[in-house]
Amino acid sequence: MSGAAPGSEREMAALLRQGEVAAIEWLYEQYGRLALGLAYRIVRDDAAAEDVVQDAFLAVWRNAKAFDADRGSLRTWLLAIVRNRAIDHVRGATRLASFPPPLWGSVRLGRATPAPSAEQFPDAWEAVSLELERKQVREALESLPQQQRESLELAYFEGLSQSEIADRTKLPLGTVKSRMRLGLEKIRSFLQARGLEP
Amino acid sequence: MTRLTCAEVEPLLGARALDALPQELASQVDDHVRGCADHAETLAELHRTAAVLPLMVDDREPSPALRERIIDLVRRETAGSEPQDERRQPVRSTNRQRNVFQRFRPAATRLMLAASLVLALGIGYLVGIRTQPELRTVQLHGNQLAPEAEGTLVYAPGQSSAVLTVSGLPALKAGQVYEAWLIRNNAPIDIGVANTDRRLVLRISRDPTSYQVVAITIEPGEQAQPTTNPVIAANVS
Repeated sequence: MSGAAPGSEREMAALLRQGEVAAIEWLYEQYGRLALGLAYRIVRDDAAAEDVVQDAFLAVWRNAKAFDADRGSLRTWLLAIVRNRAIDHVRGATRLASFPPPLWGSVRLGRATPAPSAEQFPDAWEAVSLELERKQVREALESLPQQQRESLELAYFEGLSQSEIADRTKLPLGTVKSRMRLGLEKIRSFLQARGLEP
Repeated sequence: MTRLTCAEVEPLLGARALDALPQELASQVDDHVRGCADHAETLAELHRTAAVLPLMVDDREPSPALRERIIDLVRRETAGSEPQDERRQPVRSTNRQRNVFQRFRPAATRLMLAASLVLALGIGYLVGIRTQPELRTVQLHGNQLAPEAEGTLVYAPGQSSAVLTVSGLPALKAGQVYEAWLIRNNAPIDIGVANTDRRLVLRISRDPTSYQVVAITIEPGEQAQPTTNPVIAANVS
């Protein structure tokens, strides 16, 4: 979207549904580097990561009408698709559920008052806000005990099931389950304590 | 399909949120959650938390060809699915600014114009121009965090001088300040703080047209970088 002032996620979601190519360009400008970072973190290969990102953006384009901005952010939806496609790539496309429903919300700033919607902030602020979120999420992960963090990362970034994680870490299955749950709850508490509402 | 009890589902929710259950077990959990409000809420919270995990990865710079490939494929699909359609309007190049002005509230307009006039005269004095400079204004409107806030930025393009006035800001708690920012290329620059009562008047020794956004946050003391979202903001250029 060269030369154009990009709009908010909600505006862009509406334009995506209308089939506006400019909206996918905006999405790429906003999150292309993050999407590629995520894909690379999973597949560990530049060319494969780019293929995954290309595939994910096309999936967003083709399924834009299914996206409901009231139920989550475009960013969350895009990244969930990238993650699933990347894991499909690593595991030889054996997973069944490779296209997540767009129902996961994103972190929203504001705790005591209703979270402001994305369109209320100019685009440059959205980028700043994203950096703030990313910094807080990294700190939240770093605050976890190493074993909890490992369980989350093996599940999210390597796509391992709870049984596979138990095998990999040589821990009882019940321990793995509780570490995943506890890890997520601690991240949520950490972010909430800093005014972020996952 | 066996229906799971609450006690059986409880320890599986973390793994379900992380997509770490075998397909059949995941389906059983989903089936339970459809009929259990408590676990539906818990799973939704865990899902939202799991969804922030990708934010921990570092950006990676794509090859220039990737963008071209994606846009080319999208355009080809668009052209293939239906002919180039005149009803599709191009994205407005200034839709953000237009939206800002569409939210202009008539009741506040007169006050803002009056403020702008006063500020405009002030700018003329500040920049030392005898003849009236070409003055421009940007209106700022508070968001849900500051629904009563209204503001005006008055500036003369090309001059390193501007005035920002905002009223109706949320009351500050002990130790808090209003902090104003100009943002260029995602980099916020502190342009001043105040702890006045719900209002702010700032003289800015910068040319606002060199920046994209003007914004105010409420901070726990002056910060080098914003730590909260703005309560009022607008695009400048």
